[in-house]
Amino acid sequence: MSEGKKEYKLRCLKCLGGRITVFTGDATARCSHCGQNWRISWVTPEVAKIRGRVLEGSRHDGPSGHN
Amino acid sequence: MTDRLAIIDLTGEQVEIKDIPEEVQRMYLGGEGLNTYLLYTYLPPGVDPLSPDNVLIFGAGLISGCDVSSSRFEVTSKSAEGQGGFGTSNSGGFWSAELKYAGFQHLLIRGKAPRPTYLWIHDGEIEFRDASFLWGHDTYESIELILDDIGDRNAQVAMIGQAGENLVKFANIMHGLKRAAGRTGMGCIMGSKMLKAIAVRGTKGLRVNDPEKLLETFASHRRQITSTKIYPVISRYGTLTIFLIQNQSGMISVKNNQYNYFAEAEGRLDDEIFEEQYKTKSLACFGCPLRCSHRYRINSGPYAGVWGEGPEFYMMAGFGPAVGNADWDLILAANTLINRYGLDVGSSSGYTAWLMELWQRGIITEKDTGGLNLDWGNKEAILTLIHQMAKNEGFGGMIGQEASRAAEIIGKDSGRYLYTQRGMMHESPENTRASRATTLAAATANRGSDHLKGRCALEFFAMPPEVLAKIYGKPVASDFRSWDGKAWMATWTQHFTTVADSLGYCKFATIWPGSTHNLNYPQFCETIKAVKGWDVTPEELMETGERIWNLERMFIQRETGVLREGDIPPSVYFEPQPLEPLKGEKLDRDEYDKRLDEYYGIRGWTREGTPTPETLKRLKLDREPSHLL
Repeated sequence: MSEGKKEYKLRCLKCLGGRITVFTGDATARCSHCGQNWRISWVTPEVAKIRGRVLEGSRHDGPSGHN
Repeated sequence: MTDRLAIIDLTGEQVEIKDIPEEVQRMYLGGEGLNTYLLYTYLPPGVDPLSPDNVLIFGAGLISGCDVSSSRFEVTSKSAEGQGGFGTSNSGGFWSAELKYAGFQHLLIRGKAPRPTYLWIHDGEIEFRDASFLWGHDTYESIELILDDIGDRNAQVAMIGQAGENLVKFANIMHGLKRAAGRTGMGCIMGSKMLKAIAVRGTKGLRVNDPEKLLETFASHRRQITSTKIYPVISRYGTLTIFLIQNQSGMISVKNNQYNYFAEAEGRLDDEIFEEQYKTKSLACFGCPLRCSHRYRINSGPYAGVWGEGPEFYMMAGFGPAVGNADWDLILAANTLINRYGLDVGSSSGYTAWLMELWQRGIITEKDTGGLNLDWGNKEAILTLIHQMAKNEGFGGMIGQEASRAAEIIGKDSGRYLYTQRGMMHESPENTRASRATTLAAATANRGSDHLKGRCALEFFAMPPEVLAKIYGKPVASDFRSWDGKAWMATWTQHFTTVADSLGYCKFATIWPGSTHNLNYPQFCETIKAVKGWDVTPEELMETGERIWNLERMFIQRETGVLREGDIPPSVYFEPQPLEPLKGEKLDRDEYDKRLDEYYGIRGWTREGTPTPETLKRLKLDREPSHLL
């Protein structure tokens, strides 16, 4: 639990079944089911949404080079 | 005075006005449902879609102009695209409400005007006006010219661009700067009748059964929509927010369905970049708090100064990953062109993606394309193809004119990579083979390859079984990959969306896009009670949806004879997905056939996909065409 921050749940877009816990203002969060690291944005101070995968090192954290 | 049908003969410039009997409205509501009744009744069997004998029917939803988010109007005809089956499409905006204020619920248009014509419908009057000065103008220009000509800036216009004039098989009917009745070539039918536009304006208001109750209902439904979790997202980003879900979950078409995830989009294509760099304002349809549409402007680069409205998810995905492009500028430049010409996004991007795969595989070369280099994402080639399709010029012109025969004309092995259903281009962004209900519902949809009847969004989010059972009334598996309960989920969704389109609701205000707290059957019943005074139950509305669905099926049977073989998804859906997170997922053909049998069984259809006599009798369809109207 992050001190003084409200907790929200988001659905993981990779495994779709897993729920991700985020706290107010978090910029990233990891799915505990599949391990995917996500960038988080805030539509309003109380509505979080996934913006994309965390870009690690290179541009892509996905299966790049395939397409 | 609103519940009236105008039968408009363009050939002789004659108008006949009929009152719509309540018995017919109770059977078919309005919009899609009553349009289908009129099509089945008034169109002689076997007519060529582009013949003057074909009919083009416009219908406001039964409660359009009354409740929150009730902006839709439906356009229905024999399809210009594909096999000449059931053609229908709808659009939001303000046109339907204005049509009702002008005193009409439905317009049935037949014949062919002797010269370019537009209709000016105002306060019960219908005028035939010379549209020679409009012919050749795009939709943006046409709106301004028409509003000047009639001298009323508050009129609403539904029209075709050059694509409809040039009889492109996948031409849309457009309303405003972006709203489109797309798919099945309703704009092509309109062009074949030399009908450029229909401008409507009314000042007479609406007569409803219980005005006080309607005001309460409107306020209640508005509160319901604006208190959902999805509301802050949709009202800010619109349907663009779907892109991330589809791409990250591996359910998007990349390069003509060769891949299912587009890595190049990471950090380059998303709804927030659009908002930050291009969006200039939000826009709404009639009475809608969602305001999910956008105005945009490109501020730099080769397309600087281009502006327009939209884009929707389909544009972003269709002229994004489907054609190997991760550049917002190109998507927006294409969006403006598509809307100005009045082309369908799903088909035009689908054919572009197909041609690019043929190029990739060496099946076509510069000799075929007239010098166009169709490398994936080639911006100038993509825009050139759009110009050519709309103007009937060059290689793209052949595609626009011969859409359903294009593979035959190109020959070689080209048909192997062309994904169609009922001869209709598969909607280019769709790659939902892993989600069973959505695939089954889209594949069995009456116009062919139709996410607007097929998307079972609630299967994507691993909802608890008890939540799904409460909504659908029967057990439905939470896992989108499971088939359990999915034939029923597909059937339920097809009926629900048909009812919404017959009442005139925007589906994004309902539970359809995945928000369980949005409008559902009970709210539809409340509005019908306030507007019409009818006591209708959710079960009766569901049966109405089923009745309309079956009448559409009867039309397909009558006009094409293609039933079971038209209900199979594109061939690529039976091949495994190449990329995570759904790597290896595919449809099994034997399993699909088994589930199709189950779906037919639920519907009371034979194994060939024909409604049985008992089913037709149960739905009171055994007497159609009843000629009650």
